[in-house]
Amino acid sequence: MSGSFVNFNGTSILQLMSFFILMYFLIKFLYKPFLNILDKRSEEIKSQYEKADEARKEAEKFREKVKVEMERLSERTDQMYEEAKARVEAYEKAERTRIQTEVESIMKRARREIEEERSKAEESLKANVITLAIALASRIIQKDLDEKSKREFLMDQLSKVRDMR
Amino acid sequence: MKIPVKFSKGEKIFLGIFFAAYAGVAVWNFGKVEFPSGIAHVWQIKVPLPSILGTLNPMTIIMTALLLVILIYLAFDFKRHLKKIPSRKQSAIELVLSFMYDLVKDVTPAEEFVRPVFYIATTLFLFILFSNILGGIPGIGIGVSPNGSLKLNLFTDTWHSPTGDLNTNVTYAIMVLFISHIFAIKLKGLKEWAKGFISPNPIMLPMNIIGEFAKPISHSLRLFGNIAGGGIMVLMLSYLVKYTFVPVILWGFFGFFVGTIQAFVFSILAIAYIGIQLEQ
Amino acid sequence: MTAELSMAQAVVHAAKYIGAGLAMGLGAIGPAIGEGHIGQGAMESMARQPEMVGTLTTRMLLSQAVAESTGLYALLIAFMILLI
Repeated sequence: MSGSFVNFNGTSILQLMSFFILMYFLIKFLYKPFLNILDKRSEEIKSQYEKADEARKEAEKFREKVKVEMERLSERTDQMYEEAKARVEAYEKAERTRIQTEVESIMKRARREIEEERSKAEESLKANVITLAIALASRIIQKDLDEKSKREFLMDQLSKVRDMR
Repeated sequence: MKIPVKFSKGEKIFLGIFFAAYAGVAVWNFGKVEFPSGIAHVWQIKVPLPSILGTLNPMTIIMTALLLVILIYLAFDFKRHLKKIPSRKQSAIELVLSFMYDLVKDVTPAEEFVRPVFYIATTLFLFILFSNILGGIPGIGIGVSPNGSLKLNLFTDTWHSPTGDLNTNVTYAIMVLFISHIFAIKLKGLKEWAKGFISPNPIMLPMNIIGEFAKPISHSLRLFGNIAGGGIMVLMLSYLVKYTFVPVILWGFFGFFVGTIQAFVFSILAIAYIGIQLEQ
Repeated sequence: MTAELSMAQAVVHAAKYIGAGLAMGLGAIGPAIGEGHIGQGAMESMARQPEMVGTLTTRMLLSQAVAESTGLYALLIAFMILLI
């Protein structure tokens, strides 16, 4: 028996039944497991997110702490630097004054020594000049005088010279 | 451009056997080409016992049973190999299901109806999808001549698609209509639901009723026209090339492309009809 | 086709073919225009927002499938006139 391809008959009841049979089995085997796994996965992701959030917060706290510590340390180093600088400056200053005074004293002493040397040299020069003059005079005059008279004479001469000057 | 395609040994053997069988059937059918005279007729039997069934379309029933077996087997396979870290097959199925779930979730306003609507819409989608794809592939079926005698179609016709039968489509469309109204009554109560029919003013009552009746008609005839019309066109064009090679392209178009889109349209419209009724 | 046809049967046959052709030809106009409009809109939106191409293509195919249904009614009617 044949019919037109556009028909509507009792097959529709069987189709309806087959739809509900199919839906029953698909719910049992496909949709329920799928939705369960979806829920499980979303829960897992949520817990993972929460864990990550916690870890991030902790890291934030730690970073804050480290920042404070760093600030403190840098302050301390600054202070130390200042201290060291001041100490170096003071030391420099003290050293400079010490050296200056030392140098001054050395120079004073040296000057005094020089003075002394000079006066000594003047004295010796004076004596030497006298002997030289005597030798010179004895050579020049070529006169036989005794030592005493010669000296007296020359002293006189010299005092004259001094007076004249 | 050269596309590097690698087949395993089993796939190569399968493809070789497939193409050999295809060529053999093509040559076999080429010898006895005749115009498919019974294309607009289907095989029907009358139930001998007095029952509400009356006449039946045996091919539709057989193919529906086959599809049920295939789908339930696939679902069972899915459940058996279910893992938290999905395999490729599992993730493909999950992709389709989660796509449908998101769609339903967006459209359905009431939270407690999301899951029932999801069950109905996805079952419709899977059944119609498999049925449409089957309806585009050449296969074995029993056809009739106009004078009523049966004949075996051995790859000269597509597999008989259950959605190419108006019974299936009209049943499902009317079922969606009833389900939408039942859900609406459950959600809003009988009084609020009845108020929906005279919503702008009582003059619109006949228009609303006609609109409700027009829904399943367009809903079912759209799918039926696509699949039945496509089937007849594939048959005619296959006859023109003596059932040899062009049908491969036609399966691709009428089976996979149109079939998938129409299955999707049918389930989306079902979701939309139910969603409209559920709106407060 | 049988050779012997009465005049009335011949007229009916001719009217079937003419009717099927008219149904299909006229019925294809509306869906064609509608699908063209949908395609135009989709192309314009794609040009404006190239990052939405995937979504728009899916929506376009869906709307075209819905718009095509009237054409398919015409096809169905044509087949019914011709073959039954």
